[in-house]
Amino acid sequence: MQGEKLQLNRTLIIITLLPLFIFCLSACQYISPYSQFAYEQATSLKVESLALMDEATEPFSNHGEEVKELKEKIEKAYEYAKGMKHNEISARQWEILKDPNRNLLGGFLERWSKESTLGKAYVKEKKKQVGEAFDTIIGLESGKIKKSEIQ
Amino acid sequence: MATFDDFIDNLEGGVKKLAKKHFKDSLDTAEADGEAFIENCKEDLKRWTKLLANEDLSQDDFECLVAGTKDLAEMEALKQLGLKLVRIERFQNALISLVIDTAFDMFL
Repeated sequence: MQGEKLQLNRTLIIITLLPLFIFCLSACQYISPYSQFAYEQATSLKVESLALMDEATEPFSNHGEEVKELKEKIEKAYEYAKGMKHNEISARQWEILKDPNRNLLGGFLERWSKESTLGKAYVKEKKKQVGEAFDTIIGLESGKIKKSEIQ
Repeated sequence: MATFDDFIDNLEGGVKKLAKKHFKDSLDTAEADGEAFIENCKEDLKRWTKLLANEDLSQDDFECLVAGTKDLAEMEALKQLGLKLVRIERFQNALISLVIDTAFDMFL
């Protein structure tokens, strides 16, 4: 009798606490879900950036306008990533990529503007590096949880 | 009616299977990705050293490329960190489903 009562109490406790437990778990979000827009933005900017880098063996003055346009697009992609909830990691990746004081796309464009032309071998090797940097952004975005997975 | 202990036993088995599914395979993949990244960096460094020796790269070029490796490593580490959070969240979602399904199966 005593045992049955105890069992009933435990069952009641679990039934009462279960929704609370589920609510607490589902309220925790660590990283933003997948964004098709962010993915497409990153892939198209990768193609555009690598194509423009190819031109860096020519004087910067011939391509100043294109560089300005690309920088604006990269800035928009960064702002979009920064504006998303729980998306600090992706935003930080964009920050590193575009930073003119570092050594990826931002640093490359800065060096091109200062030195006017860059060597062919350097451009080829830097393109590989910048391509891989974009891949880390794309790889993280495509690994995020899609809305269809949650429902 | 099912007992509380039965519920916990069933849940425990399910959680073990879930953890194995969500973390074991993913950890193996992360480890392989990390090793591939290091291998890739080694290959790059070898090629750059040759290009520097042949004067296809200037000293500045070489330095910018090596410094770029550090930035790239940071971006790769951020990717791995992000994917780790994704794994935790996937596990959490699966855990919620497991708790609900087990409770419904046993008590309703």
